[in-house]
Amino acid sequence: MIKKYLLIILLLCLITVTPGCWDQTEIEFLALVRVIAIDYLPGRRAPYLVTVAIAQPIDAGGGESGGGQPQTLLFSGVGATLDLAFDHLSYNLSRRLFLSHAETVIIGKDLAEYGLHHTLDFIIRHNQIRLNSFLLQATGMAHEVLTVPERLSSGIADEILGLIEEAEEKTETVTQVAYKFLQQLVTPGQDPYTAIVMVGPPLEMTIPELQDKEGAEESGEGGSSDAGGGGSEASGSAGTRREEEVLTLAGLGAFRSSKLAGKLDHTETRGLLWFLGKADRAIVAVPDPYNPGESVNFLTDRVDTSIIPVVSNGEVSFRVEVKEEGDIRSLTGTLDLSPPETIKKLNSAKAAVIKEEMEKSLRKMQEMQTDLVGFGAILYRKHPKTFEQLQDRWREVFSNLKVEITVKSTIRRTGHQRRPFHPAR
Amino acid sequence: MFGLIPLFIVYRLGLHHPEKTLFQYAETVLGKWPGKLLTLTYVWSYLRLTAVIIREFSEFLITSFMPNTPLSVFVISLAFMAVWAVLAGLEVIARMNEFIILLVGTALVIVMLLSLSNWDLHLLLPPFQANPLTLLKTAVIPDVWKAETVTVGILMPFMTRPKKAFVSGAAAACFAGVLLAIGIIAATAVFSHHLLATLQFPIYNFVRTINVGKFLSRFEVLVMVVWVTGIFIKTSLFLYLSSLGLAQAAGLREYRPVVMPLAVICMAWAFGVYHNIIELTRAIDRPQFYIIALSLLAPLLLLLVTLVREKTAGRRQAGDKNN
Repeated sequence: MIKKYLLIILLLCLITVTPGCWDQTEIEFLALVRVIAIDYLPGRRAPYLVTVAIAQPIDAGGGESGGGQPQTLLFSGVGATLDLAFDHLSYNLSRRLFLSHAETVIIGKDLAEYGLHHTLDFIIRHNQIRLNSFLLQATGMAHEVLTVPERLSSGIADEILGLIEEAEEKTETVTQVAYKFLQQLVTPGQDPYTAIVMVGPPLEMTIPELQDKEGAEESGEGGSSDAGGGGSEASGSAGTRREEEVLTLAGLGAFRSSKLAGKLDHTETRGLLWFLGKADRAIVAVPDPYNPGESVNFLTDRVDTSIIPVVSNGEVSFRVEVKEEGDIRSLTGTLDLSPPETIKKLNSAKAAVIKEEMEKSLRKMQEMQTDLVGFGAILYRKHPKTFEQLQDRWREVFSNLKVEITVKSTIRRTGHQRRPFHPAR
Repeated sequence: MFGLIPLFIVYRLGLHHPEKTLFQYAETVLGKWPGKLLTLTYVWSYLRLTAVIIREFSEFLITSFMPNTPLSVFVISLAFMAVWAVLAGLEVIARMNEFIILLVGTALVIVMLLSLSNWDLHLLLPPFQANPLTLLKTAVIPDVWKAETVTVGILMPFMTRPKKAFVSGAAAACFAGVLLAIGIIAATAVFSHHLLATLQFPIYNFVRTINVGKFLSRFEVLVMVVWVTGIFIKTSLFLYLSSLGLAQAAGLREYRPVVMPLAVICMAWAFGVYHNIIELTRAIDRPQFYIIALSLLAPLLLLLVTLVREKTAGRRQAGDKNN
């Protein structure tokens, strides 16, 4: 009897379930957000400006969605809080906002300076935004990043994601996912950082030598001596021709607690990377020990950094040991590498270059009082009691911290050339 | 390892009273009415526990997957499934468990392996920073929940080899402890304990961070599968236990007639037991006294009374012979 009743009940239940959920969310009714850009407009009553890049639905693209059509569409909303701003934004949407596929969150400079507390709380509590989405900090307004036309990828979302993926192979910046940022934020003796995304005219537009006489556009400083980077800062030349702007991912935004304290440019970032032991694939140009006008270029293969806290008589200092291995990429001169003496000299010259980079970066961090390396956290792991005493004034301690850096460099390979060639007279 | 103590007590009790459940020998040991009262207390606590589990699980589903679905959908469907399983009998629940443990084990191994690239072992340092007392306290709290090993006392007469009950029970408790420890270590290595403390469902969020090779991601489904099946077993078992207790206290021959009414009570309780998720998490962090009383003190009392009675009975017998 009971079985029969149960069966009937089960069938009745099935009837209610099989036609589909009353709360269904089919993919064709969703607006898939790829990138979220959050800005803070100081002085407004509704300061939060949210701009999202929504993937262009395939069916809406029409038959011949050819070249010119953007792959992502932008929508914006403002509000006194992020929730209100997202709500405001959704008034423009004919589909339901869906944030699970947001791979990147871009933070405007003003928001970063105001503080990220509300933003991070929003991200953690939200049941769709993923904790491993990337955090980027824009040098200007975050939403401007989204209006830059994509160059190599289809759609601005993929362009940014591609930049992030490529940046992992380089040493210009450190890409940071949201939960890592959070983890650094809540760890005592550690300050968080995010990668910086810059909007600006491409380098070939800013180098003065390349400008036509009539091209009266004023040029940024641009063209630093180092490889890569191309830190063309500030979109000062105003959006006259938007299609002539590119995105650059270089440098780090340094945060003190949840507020932006300053930035590391791409060489200072690399200095930080040596501390973190992550600077493999760094290209280092070392002056030729015999002929200072020429230089030898190295590609770093492997980096191993150990940071050892030293406590003596209540004084805290650190010993940083970097072991680096690299290959020679190219020479500007005709240096003969065969004598063992030369290799030794090159090794120490390279070590000196790396050490200088690290010291410069450390000075900058100490000036800003942002412990991006996490010296405090490292001290806590080894000497918890000592750190607990210093914890409340750690930033102050950090800014006067003595750090002894030793770098040991090794050359492994020299490429496809055994001896330098000498052009015949 | 706190769970082993009640397990041992209950195991000794079971050996002294073969073929009887804890509910049955409670009456013989304590007398008819006190025994029945104890049994009813157990029924009450199991029912409450079931209600809490159902509610907790439903809240998790609502928070992370289906925010617009009403609570009743989860509560009713889960209770309905449990009723079904309980009506099918204990063996069905046990067999199902056998199958599900494989599922859970595989899922756990997969998730841990894939998350390895996110681990930062430095975050586990330095160990044991809290003072010993708080350390002990935090160690005891999950163990109090493991005091559920008392159930062995009720299940022992149904086992084919009751003598092995202690070994397998202890193995189960240790296995559960190890699983919990692995989960916590992994989540700490990814999030650091500072961040971990702020999260509502740490393991769920931990699994959400997995992203291997840009395509092996979104393993939260796995967590959900594991949790759904695990919760299902747990609610079924507890519903079975409380039905059995009620039936035996009332002197019924069959436990099946009381399953449905108890399930309904349970559902209603699940709605009313907490007003919101904050109360729920507070309750889980601070186990009430009655759980310790029922899982440790009551069996201990039963065992002592049994031992004393046997001793006096033995002495009387010996005395009889001597005379």
